[in-house]
Amino acid sequence: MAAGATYEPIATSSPSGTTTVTFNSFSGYTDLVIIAVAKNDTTAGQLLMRFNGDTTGPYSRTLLIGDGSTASSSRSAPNTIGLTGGVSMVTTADTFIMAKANIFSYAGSTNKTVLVEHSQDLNGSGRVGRYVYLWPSTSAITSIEIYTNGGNFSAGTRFTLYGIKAA
Amino acid sequence: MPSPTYVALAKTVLTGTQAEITFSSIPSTYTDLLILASTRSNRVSTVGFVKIRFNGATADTNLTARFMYGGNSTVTSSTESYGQVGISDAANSGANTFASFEIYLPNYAGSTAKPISSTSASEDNSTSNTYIQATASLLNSTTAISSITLLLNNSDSFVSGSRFDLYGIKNS
Repeated sequence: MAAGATYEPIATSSPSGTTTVTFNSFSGYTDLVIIAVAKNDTTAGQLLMRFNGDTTGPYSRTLLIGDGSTASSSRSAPNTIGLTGGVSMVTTADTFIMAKANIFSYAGSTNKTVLVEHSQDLNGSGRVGRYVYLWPSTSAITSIEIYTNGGNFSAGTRFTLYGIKAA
Repeated sequence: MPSPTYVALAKTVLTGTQAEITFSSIPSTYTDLLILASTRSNRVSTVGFVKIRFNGATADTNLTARFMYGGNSTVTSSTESYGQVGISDAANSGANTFASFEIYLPNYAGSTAKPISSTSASEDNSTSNTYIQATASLLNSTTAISSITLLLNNSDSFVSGSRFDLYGIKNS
């Protein structure tokens, strides 16, 4: 029996001069993964994500953060998912942040958990973070909006959506 | 048949003590790279730090890192002027235990500075030698990465049984 692909690229977007990318065509997978390599152009803003156009949430979250001198943890319930954990990206030329988001059982009928891995060393500042978000909705995720709340995405920014199939 | 997204590019399993391992001639045809490793060193300690260098460099040029580190019951964060990417079990760790880590390198063949994300853990079923670490590193160079070297920060060596796997990941 020929095995099917387990980890498949669904879509990639490379925005420049815009604030938002939307993925809304994905089905047939068990989990989703987003790889984000991003920066802002002239005004720094956070890298954010929301599902199915839900602008109120709340998206319950717990953060674990290291800023290079202090490690901390906190909890809150914002109205969006912060892929950079509440801090802005960069506008520095040629410097990008990275975030990886694992979205579990996105098509199921239980609340949706997202694990975020955030890497933002800026050669003198920055942070490393691991975040967990819960979107308390039993609706299947049919739309993923990735956006920034300051300036636009700069050239070189890339968002790739992967689908993972269980056996 | 579509080409696979994850491609195993190289695998190294040490059969003796070795100070560093290098993946060379990495093709530029992938979008991102992933390294999975399981390591132990001969450092006389319970843990040691693993660092990364690129393109044949023999010094930690253009590399920085900030990490958070939980050991037993404490957590801290620090900044380093080298490419720290993980922790390794060491000579005083529990017998037959190897630390595990993964390193993700997006846009390795691009012409911008390279962010690096890694997570590692050392758990040896003891009450005092358990560690977990997450690191954000930066290669502040616009040169494409064609080789990767992993080594220990204190001039120690990896020991037999340490394993290093390199994968290429495509986005289409």
